[in-house]
Amino acid sequence: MSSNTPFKIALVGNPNLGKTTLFNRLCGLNQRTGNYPGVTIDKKKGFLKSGDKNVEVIDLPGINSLFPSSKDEELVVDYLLNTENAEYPNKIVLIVSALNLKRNLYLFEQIRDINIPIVLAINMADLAEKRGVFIAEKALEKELGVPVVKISAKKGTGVDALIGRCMETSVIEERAPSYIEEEELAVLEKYSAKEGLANNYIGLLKLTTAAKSEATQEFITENNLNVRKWKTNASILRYKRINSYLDKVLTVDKSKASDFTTKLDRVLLHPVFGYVIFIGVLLVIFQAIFWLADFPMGWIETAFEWLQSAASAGLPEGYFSRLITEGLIPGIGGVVIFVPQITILLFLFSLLEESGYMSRIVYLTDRLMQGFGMSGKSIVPMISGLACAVPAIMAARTIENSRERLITILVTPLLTCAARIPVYVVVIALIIPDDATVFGIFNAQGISLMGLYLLGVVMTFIVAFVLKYLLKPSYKSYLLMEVPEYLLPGMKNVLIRVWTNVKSFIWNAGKIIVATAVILFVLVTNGGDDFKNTEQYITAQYPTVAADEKNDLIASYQTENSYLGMLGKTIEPAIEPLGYDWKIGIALISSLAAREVFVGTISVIYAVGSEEEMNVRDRLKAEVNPHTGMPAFGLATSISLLLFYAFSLQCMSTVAVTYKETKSVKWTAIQFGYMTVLAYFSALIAYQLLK
Amino acid sequence: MELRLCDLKVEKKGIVRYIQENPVSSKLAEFGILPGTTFSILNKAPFHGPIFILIENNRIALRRKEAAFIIVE
Repeated sequence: MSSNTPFKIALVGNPNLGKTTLFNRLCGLNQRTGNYPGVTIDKKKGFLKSGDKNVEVIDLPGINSLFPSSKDEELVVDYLLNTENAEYPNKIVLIVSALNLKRNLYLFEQIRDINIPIVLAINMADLAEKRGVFIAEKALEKELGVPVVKISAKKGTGVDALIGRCMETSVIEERAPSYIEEEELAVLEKYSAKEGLANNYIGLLKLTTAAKSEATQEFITENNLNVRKWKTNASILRYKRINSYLDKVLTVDKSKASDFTTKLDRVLLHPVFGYVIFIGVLLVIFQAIFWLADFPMGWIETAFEWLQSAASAGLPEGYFSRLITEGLIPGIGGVVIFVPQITILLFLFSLLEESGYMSRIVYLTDRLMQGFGMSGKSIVPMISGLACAVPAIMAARTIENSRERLITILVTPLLTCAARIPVYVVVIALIIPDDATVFGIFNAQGISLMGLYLLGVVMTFIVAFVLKYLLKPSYKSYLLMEVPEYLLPGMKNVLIRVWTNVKSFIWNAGKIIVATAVILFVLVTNGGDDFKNTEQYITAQYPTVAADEKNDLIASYQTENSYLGMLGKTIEPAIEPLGYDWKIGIALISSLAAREVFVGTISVIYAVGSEEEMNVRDRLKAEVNPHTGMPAFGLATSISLLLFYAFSLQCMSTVAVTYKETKSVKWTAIQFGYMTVLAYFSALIAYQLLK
Repeated sequence: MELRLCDLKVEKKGIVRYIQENPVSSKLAEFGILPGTTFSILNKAPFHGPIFILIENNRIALRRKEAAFIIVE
């Protein structure tokens, strides 16, 4: 081993040109996700060995420019400018696409001026040559003054050479600025010197950023600077410089040009067929996460039931064993059950993104989403919201406009996520018989479930529409987006992506759900004096009952007087108008952390008091509300419950991620608040009308 | 009467003459929408949705609002 601190390489490049493919190629599965210092945003790190040196590779989000306009870009720019940071890279690999060299060199020109050693990787050089685009890498190397390597991230060619060039020692020196008019340079130099900055370009970035320090603002006013004009000029000057050498390095044979993408776009972006195809794609995704995932979910359920009975048979009796069999195992099972759906969704998403169709979806839906105060880019978080709101809210990061992004974050949890399905399925089964059909062909339960999905979508748009009028528009709402060419997705890359994302879901959501299951178990198995004296009480009250029945009575009395039972009773007055008793109250409280806990809790609470083994549904059907003498889960109560679960934000992971992404207690509270109010009152109205 | 990029029909080609000063003019420049560049309109989304253009071998989608700042011939 040469040293303990690894050599750090950061991957930088425009979005959608194979940066992550290269990262996966470099590190394989040897990668993990961490957080950026200060901000909690996923940072992907990978490791590899070059000779005897340890190399750490950091995959940064794709950016278009060092003048940031989205959260993602801000993050990368902060990272690249903060030279004090222990995580600061020793070298940058800048990835450009051979198919779009000019546009990508723009980013190179910017990063070159921060004076970090760079290696330029030209991706898709092979594909470009087939289309008649030839790049002279030696000539380019001479023009740019940094190493240039042609690679194919998908096939893996040139990757070893790239690592080799990265490990070379290199010096990078300040060069003459090509981003500012000569007559304005003096004032920029003055600013950089005043602020003690490493170089003038960092000065320009600090002067043009939206979040200026007070001193910077003063300097701008004092010198009467038009920094917006500077920004535009900087871009024009940079393209001038790129044009000055581009002809020497790039030759294009027009006869070989392929217009496959243009032809395909004629169909996929057609004003009528384009939308028909888009809806078809949505239906396929929907079908897949719904029906396809059903099979593995059934297996997982069976496996965990088996595990539970095997564990309770194998473990010695005692409190700790019960904690495992009744708390921990169902808790973990509750997380694993969602893995199939999330895996399928992520897989289809990766395909859409890698192929380039995702950008077309953004284009097609932008106008519609504008009507609801959002951007076409909001469609991506909203589709993933059909599986889970947590990754969905994180995906909103690519939306440049802060108002559009905020609205997207606030409404996404209204979409029916996977965690609501178990609740819906159990409650629907209570009010609609298995064999009921609509028009004799459609399964009535399935139709109801579809209806609930639709309800989520409709409410999402209604709330977005209301928010559009409540939130003040900021002046800078725009859509300006590069649309990539269609490419065949690389399967290996897609699979690695799915795996790393699923892993992080299991870990993040898993922690919360398992913790809830354990806390719940402790609360239901402990209580005050009444709880402790259960046995004497029951013996005194029912001196004649048989042993079996007595045990049931004890269990039921214990649940009622456990800490959890006390909690349920405390909130009973508040939920009675919705048609719920204290037992449902307990389920509501426990599922505050995660909705799917509802099913587990309700089956634990109602499990007591029955002799024969019944499944959850039969148990609930048999239950009678002691106050009304009516079935506890009648039509009114069930509909009220469905509405409550459709609208309430019972998911701590979502609350946590909203806070992380908005960094605002206010908006996190507003999201939780409006959803709770919506849930409570729609459930109230439904129950009072139907009872 | 100046011709704006958003006024052109699909499949029309043109050259950017200049860009009116606006809040996103620096972004337009960054995307390579500069005076003198040639472009063609690939697609226009219905109901006054965004416009899809090919400019110097680069496909870009932008809203009508931004396209209105781009004066073309």
